[in-house]
Amino acid sequence: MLNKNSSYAAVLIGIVVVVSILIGSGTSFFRALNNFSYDILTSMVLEPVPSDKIVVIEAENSFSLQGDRTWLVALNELLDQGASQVVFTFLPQHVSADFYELAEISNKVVFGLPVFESGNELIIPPLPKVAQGLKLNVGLIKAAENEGGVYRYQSRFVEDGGAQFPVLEFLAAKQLGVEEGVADDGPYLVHFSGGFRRLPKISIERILDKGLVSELVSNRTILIGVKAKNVNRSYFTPISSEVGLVSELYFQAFSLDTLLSQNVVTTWGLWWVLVVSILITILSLIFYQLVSFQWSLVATFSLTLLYLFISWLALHLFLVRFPLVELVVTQWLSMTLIWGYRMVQEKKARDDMLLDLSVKLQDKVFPISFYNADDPWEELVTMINQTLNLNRLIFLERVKGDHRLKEVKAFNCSIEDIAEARRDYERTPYSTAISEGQPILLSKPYLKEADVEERVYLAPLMFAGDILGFWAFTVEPNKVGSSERFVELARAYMGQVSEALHYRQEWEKRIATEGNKLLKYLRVQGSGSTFQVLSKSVTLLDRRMSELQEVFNRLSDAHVLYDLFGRVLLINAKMESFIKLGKLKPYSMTVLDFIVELALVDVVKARSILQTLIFEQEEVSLPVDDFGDGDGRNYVLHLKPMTVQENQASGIGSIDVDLFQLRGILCEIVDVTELKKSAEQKESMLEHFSYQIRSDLAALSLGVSILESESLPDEDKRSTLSGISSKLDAIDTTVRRLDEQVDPPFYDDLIASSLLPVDGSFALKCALQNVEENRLKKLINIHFKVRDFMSLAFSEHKSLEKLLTSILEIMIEDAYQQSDLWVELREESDFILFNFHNNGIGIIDEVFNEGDSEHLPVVDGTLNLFTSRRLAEKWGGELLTDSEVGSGTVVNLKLKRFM
Amino acid sequence: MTKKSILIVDSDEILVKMLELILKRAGYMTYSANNDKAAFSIIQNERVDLIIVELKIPEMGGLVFLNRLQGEVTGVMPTLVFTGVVKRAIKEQIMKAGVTDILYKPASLGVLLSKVKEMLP
Repeated sequence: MLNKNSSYAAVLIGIVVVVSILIGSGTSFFRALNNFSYDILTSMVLEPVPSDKIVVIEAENSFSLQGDRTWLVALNELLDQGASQVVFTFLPQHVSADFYELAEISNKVVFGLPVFESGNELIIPPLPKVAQGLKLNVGLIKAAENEGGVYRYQSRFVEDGGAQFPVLEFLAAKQLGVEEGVADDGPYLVHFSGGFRRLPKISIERILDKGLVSELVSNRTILIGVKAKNVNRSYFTPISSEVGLVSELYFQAFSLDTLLSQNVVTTWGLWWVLVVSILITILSLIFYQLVSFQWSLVATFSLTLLYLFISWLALHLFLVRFPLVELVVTQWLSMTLIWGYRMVQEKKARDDMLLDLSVKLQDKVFPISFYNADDPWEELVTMINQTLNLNRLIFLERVKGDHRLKEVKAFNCSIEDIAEARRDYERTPYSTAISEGQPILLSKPYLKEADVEERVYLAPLMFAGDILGFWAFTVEPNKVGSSERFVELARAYMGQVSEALHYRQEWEKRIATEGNKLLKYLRVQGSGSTFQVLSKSVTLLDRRMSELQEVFNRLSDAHVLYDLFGRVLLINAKMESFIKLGKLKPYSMTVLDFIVELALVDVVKARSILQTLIFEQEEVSLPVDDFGDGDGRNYVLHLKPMTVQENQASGIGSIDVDLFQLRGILCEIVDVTELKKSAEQKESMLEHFSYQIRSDLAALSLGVSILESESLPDEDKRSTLSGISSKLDAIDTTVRRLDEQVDPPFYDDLIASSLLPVDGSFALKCALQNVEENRLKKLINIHFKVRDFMSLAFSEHKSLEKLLTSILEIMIEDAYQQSDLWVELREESDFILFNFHNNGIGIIDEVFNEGDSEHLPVVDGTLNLFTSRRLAEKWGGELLTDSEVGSGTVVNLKLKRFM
Repeated sequence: MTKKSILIVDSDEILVKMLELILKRAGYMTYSANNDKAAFSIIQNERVDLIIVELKIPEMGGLVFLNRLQGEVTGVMPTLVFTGVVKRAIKEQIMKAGVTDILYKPASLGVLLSKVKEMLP
């Protein structure tokens, strides 16, 4: 359907079509086309039916000199045979008065009298002398009227000085009392359909030989003429393309037969054309909106053929000449205008959509934060230098609409140091760098010579085919190492800097058009650059996608992303390696199969897991019992629902609820071998200590029981006491060893190598040690409660220790002298909870919640609560605080639990 | 009446001494061994009515010792595992090895003696 303005557009299109048809109808072009179509339709007759009204006798020209022996005999014969009328297209000159008297008496004879035009005057020749004074029926012979050289019409009258003289055919028809077709005064369309075969003819010789059969002529009009001496008396008619020129006699025969047979073809008036055009237009407006373009085309072709058929039928059956051209043009014009309008609308909608998409894509990939920074280029330079160890560098930007370059950012140099003074990017060395498409080593001096030996490189900065600028940099040869590697690295940065430069230009454009959205749109549309905008956005998106794919590929664990239908969307390199080893076949497995295969759960259980993932959108971790890789590594299958948060568009009621849409399920095969090893180590160690302590306690217990017995000999008593003493020492040693084993050196390597996840209990113990001195100063009694085996928490070890130390310092600072401080570490569903509370002084709410660092108690080297809260949030956790002046303070640190 | 003899197999010498003192005072004859080889030697040469064994002993370990004991020694040999190892999985393996009962360290003197009396009526 047309868009919301379709009603107006449809009316407008309808008016245009109808007016065009009305105007067209009056033009010679339409008339010519209509005549042409009429001629074709006229000549298309299946089998003509011979006329029963007329018989044509065409005598040789020599017969015009004949007298009574020919014409009187013939006239007598014809009248005797019952001819209803005999029409002579000429006045026999050599007959006697008997002939004309017979014609007068019979009152069944009509003569044709040729007329000549001399200027504006009509010259009517006199009757032969023998005919003068008689009351003869004489009609004028009028040359037929042509249109475009084709003779289709015949006149009824010839006018001269206000007087009307009947034309021969009209007079003959009138004599026979034919009413229809003679009522009008104007020319009439001669019915040529059927051609010569429609007109029966006989020869004059047959009549003279008395060989005439009565049935042939009775009740018919016999039209008698002589062959013309020259072809000038022949006409090109609608049937001439098939039968050739039509002689004047036969033209008169067709005209006379048209009148006698009442075969005058009627033509539609302008009003009928108007009505039908409006009707077709209305139907077309509806129809073309309902069907596709292909169907519209087929329908229009079909309707054109139908109109042709109807016109043919109407002409031959009902003697109506249809305005075929008007019908066909209405149809095609309606289709053209409607589809033209639709296509324009669709193009506009497509352009709008592309533009909208481009803007959205730009918003997605535009790193606003980068350009919101005070000096983003400074950060970029620092970042590059950290890797490439450059001596000098300069970023040059192309001046829009110019060949020259300007400085964007320089390090240890400036644009003035460039020896090449033209700075024309269409010349060398810039053109060479562009053609190479990568950093090139310059052999000629480019930058002012430095104190140390340097290599000078020039890299083109191009984005989506546009030359944005150049990056020149120098490096000492001894810092380069492998040249290929260096160029490769520089090339990688080249791409990043190009993108940054592109963003810079886009950002400047944004700033320029900020606050004027219309102007922004106008600029994009005005320059006709929708495609360019989209192209650049797609390039950006493509680059982002490639980077994401690269990041995804580099993840050390195997990942596969399934869509909701269980089909693979994305797969990373590690998973590909598993596929190559034949361990997994995710492409031929649904996510359900994947779970069943890996986690060794049955289908029912796997389905239940899927439901949890999809409907409750919770992450699920399953042990992979037998991965079958034979390398002794341990894995966990971690299933994560991938949701996309979409903000509800404003303007529809007051729905503020965020909609979460599940886009897929990410399956991670996490290698937990190292974690498992460390857990096993820890478990083994604790088992050992447990055993040792149990054994020692057993000896202690038994020893004490022995000592309790009254009759124990002294020697046994001594040996038992000695044993108890030894065991006490052993327990003490065991505990010390336990402390040592759980001390940082044991875990340092592990924690340093894997920042996430970390042992929260260990970090807490470290933090408690850190605050020991302050605790002792205030004589705070710490109640520490922690479970033996705690899950690991997502954080960074050193930072977590610092954060916990900070919290403890604040709590100690807040606590009264000699008061209690409770510290508890426990697990809560997906979180590890560090709970601290005291019954201290309390911190004022405003200060506490606003996190004003100046007002919070801060111990040197520790974090204030505001920073701590930010840190916890960074790890996906949260820091909740509650304090009441006079009652104490509660701090809860919740960190995400690792599986 | 002949005293019942008990073999204590444990590498903790102090504990062994204390056990011997307690069991002797309770009227039993005791042997002790700090490893499985020594234990087998005693079993082969002396009459032993009950074995009190720790699972963590040098050489082959308590579990292997118990399995070997079940395979090599004919007749019923009551065995009490008195151990500081508390893993559930090991308990199942011990019971399969024909052990009569298990007592986890630390246990009170009363409980220990009642177990012994129960196994040596």
